[in-house]
Amino acid sequence: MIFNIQRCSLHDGEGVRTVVFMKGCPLRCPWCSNPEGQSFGAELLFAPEKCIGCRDCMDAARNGEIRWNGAGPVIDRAVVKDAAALRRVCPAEAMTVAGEDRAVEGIIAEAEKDKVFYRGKGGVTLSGGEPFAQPELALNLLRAARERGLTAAAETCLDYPWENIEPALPLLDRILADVKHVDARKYNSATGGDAARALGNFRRLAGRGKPVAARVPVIPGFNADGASLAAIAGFVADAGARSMHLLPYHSFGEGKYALLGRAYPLAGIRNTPPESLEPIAQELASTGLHIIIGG
Amino acid sequence: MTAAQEVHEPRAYDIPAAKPDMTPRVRRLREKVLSARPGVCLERARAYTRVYRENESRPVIIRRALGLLETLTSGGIRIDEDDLLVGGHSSRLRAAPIFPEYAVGWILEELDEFEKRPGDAFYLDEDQKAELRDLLPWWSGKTLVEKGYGIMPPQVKEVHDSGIIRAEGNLTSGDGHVAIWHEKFLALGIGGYRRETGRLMAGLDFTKAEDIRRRLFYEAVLICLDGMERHIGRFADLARADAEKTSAPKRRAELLRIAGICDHIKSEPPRDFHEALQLIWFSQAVLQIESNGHSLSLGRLDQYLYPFYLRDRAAGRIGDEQALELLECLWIKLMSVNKIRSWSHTRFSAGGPLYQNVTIGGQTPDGGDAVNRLSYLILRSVGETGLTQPNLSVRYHRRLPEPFLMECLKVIGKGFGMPAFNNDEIVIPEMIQLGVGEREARDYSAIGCIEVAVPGRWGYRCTGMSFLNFMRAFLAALRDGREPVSGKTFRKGDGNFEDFAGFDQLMRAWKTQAVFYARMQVAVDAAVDLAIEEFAPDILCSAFTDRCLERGKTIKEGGSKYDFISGLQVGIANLGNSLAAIRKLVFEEKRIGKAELMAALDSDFAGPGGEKLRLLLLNHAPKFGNDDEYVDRLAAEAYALFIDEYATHVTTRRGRGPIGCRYYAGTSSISANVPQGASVPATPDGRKAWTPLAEGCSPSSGTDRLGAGAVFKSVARLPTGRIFGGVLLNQKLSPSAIRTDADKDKLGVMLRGFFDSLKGWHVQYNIVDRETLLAAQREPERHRDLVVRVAGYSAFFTALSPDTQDDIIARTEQTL
Repeated sequence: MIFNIQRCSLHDGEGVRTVVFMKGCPLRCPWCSNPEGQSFGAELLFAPEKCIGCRDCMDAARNGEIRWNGAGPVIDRAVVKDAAALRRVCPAEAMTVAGEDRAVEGIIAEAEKDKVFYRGKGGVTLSGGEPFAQPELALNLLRAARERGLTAAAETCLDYPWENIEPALPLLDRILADVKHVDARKYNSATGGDAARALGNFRRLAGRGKPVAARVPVIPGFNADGASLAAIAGFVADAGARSMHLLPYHSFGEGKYALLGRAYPLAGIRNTPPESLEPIAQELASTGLHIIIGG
Repeated sequence: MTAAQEVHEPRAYDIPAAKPDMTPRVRRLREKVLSARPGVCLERARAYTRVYRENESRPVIIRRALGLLETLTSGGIRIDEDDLLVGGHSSRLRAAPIFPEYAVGWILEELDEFEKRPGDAFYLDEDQKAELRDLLPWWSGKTLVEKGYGIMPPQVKEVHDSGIIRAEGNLTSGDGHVAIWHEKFLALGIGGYRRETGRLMAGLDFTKAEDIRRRLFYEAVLICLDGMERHIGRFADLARADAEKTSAPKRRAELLRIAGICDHIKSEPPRDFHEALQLIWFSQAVLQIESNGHSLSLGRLDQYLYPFYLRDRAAGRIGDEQALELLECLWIKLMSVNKIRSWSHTRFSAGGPLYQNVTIGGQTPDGGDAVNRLSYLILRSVGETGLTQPNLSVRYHRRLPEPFLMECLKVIGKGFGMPAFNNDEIVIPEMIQLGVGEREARDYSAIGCIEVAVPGRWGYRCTGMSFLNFMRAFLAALRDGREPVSGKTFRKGDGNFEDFAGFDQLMRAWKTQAVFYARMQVAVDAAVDLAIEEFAPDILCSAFTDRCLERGKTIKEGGSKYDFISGLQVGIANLGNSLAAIRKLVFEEKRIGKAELMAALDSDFAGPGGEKLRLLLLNHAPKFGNDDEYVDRLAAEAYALFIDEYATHVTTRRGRGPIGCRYYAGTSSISANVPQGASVPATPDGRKAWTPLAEGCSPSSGTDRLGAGAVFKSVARLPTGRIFGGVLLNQKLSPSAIRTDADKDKLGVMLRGFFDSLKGWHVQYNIVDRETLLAAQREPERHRDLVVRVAGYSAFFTALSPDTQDDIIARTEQTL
């Protein structure tokens, strides 16, 4: 299942990319800017300010997922089984569905629409969610991309069994792998993941000789301090990767939490201006890594 | 072969280093022009009124020549203390001359309103108003606009008056949209033209009526050249007098240099870079005193100026800093030009643009890369001054050097909308198809905004004839031909939509209206052309355009070598989106009934279910700009039905000399989408009544959801080769999207994809975030020099009226 195909992205690998966002992630990072990509099933998003009160969603919801509170619909998220049945029902697009089962052919055909912009460099990037959480779909997409001569990249948290990741490696031209923290306690408690697994996989990956870029979301209060970033850079360099991207914290995903009926865990934290990371980026460059802000 | 090609070897130049920034002199000049309040200058009106009154028996062409002579020799002139280039469009910075021979009615009517306008205000003092009330009434009944409407056949006039087709600006202010042949102009100098005119005049045979006519043209040319020479001579005298008065030795030397330059170029060809720039500026100013038509363009400045630059550089006479400073002085001079338009015309051309285009890059006549060192200097200097003039275009081609493209993207990143790109890969082959010689096709330049012509060899208005409101014509197609705003049936239709059995019937009904309005658009323009030819011929501009002197004809009489023109069609995306919504929701999915749709349109989606239906139309049908063939092909097909008819017609010059004399379609409809939308009821794309239409060929605001690449793909599906008046695409990017060099690099890759593979015509960028625009609305004083791309041109955001500001804010911002 995927939840978005982003056309012509400039920031997710070499050249111009078509990014396939795959649904479902083992982690629950509080700064996640794609919260609609976390769960493995289709989900309803609802923007009450767009609702015109036409009740078409009530008519389409057959299992009592939606109640009417007088002014608009209330979603009983515990009851929603078949969110997909509500796709393209709402005329106002107040209610939309994240998550769609699409055939590999259809996804790749969508990506190929960007082909004129690849010009030898660009191609498909699998992202998410966590692409390797759907190893079969990931593999099939990568095979199809290869058949069509498109380059392929993946953005991954690596917090998945190596067996899920490894078969895809020969089909990938580049991997953008998260290294969120090297402090296992902090990592595990913030993300709900397993630092040992993620870091171990990173070492394995970097040892394979594939172009690997470490991606570090720089989150205030989690890893934005100089010591944490230095430790991360030290680990990345030691593992044998060549470049590291510092991704400044932003709250652009905040609105989507509301659409999902969830509270934004990092409410109130201000966006990090990219320029403000320049001093630390210069320091980290002493590790020999190629440091990029954004990426 | 031009001088530029003889000396130019690909990359036989070093890329100039970035210098710190504008010199203090340029800063002061820039500040002065920015702070000058727009006003009017009455000198031209005074001179023309006097001359026209005293010479009523003489032919129009002679009166016009004498009017120009009088203005150039009697007007007040001054040299500002920082000027390196001298001369002006009027007696004061940003003061628009008045052109009473075109129209006076609107001036008198709006006299007390100019300063109250919501955008593009002009400030007149009471003395000026009193003098205009005194001068202008004499013109009543004698102006071009009145004569033009008098010529227009009643049936055509009725359509024009309904507002479905608008040609007002053409009658109230003349043609423009042209570039003279600067190369020849700089080679011959004013004296050279005088000698050539004299020689041709001597060979006339007055037993032939046409030679009697020709003589009048030549006489008029000589009068105008005399005016130009004396005008420049006055500046030589003034500079010398000012030099006497100044005690600062440096300024004194500058003034004496200016005097020497003017003495020389008043009749002789320029000898160096500074002289060439000065003569270019004089011609640019004088041609805009002769005619009030805008989009008078400078053509390929980096090509025809290059020999002068190279010679000076080789001799060690000019460094980068001096070259940049002189160029920047020219941009500020271009910025000092102003034009006052009627309020209704202003709304089509929001932000007071003059569209004085400068084109750089592209190819040599042999097909080599034409980028040179001067191209970089021009690009850099325009980036430094960051003004709305000149309107800078870069000609893209496959082998455009990567460093140059990157430099362009850096300037674009500054956010003032320049440079825009035109694409050689489509323009040149299509021009050759039209019948233009290969070497000349490679020498094209942008004119005004995004339209193209071979400078100095092409007549007026390669685009910019009348504006056709596609959506009003489309609504008529749904109602058996009855146009809902006027209530009139100009062309009986094919029945009412409620009775249409299938989608094909709708396309047939559209075709009927499209064919009719194509013919009407030609008819309106033909009447306008006849009126201008007879009542407001341009003399100097014709003399500097190839074949006019040789033929003894003005451009409008068929003097130019090539002649292709286009009107504009407004609402392309709305047309495609409306067709797609109807096909999908009414005929295929049957989610909306035919009568239900018509009732919703009539009521502007009022009543129970109205808004729901509107949202269905808006959200549940494909929209142009999302790389969706379903709608893109409909837009292309519907437009082609119009073009099939439009392109069969010929201009008033057919058989009188020029090659071509044909029409092609155009979409560089500047800011017309806002006022034209204001006259259109609700449309089936879910657009509410009276709101803006889609701008140019850009998607409707907010409906392109898949980013810049998908927009490129959709736009490329239009029949670009047949829309030679320009396929205008505005893209708005958030500044964060192209923050780093790597981002710019990738944006360059996308551009190359659009141009090389998709054969796109043009693209231009707005790189400014929503917050900045909103802040500028709240605090205009603090954002006085915020420049944005409106359509094919840039304008000061705070000078725009609130509705145009809102339209720009509403455009989809691509994050990439």
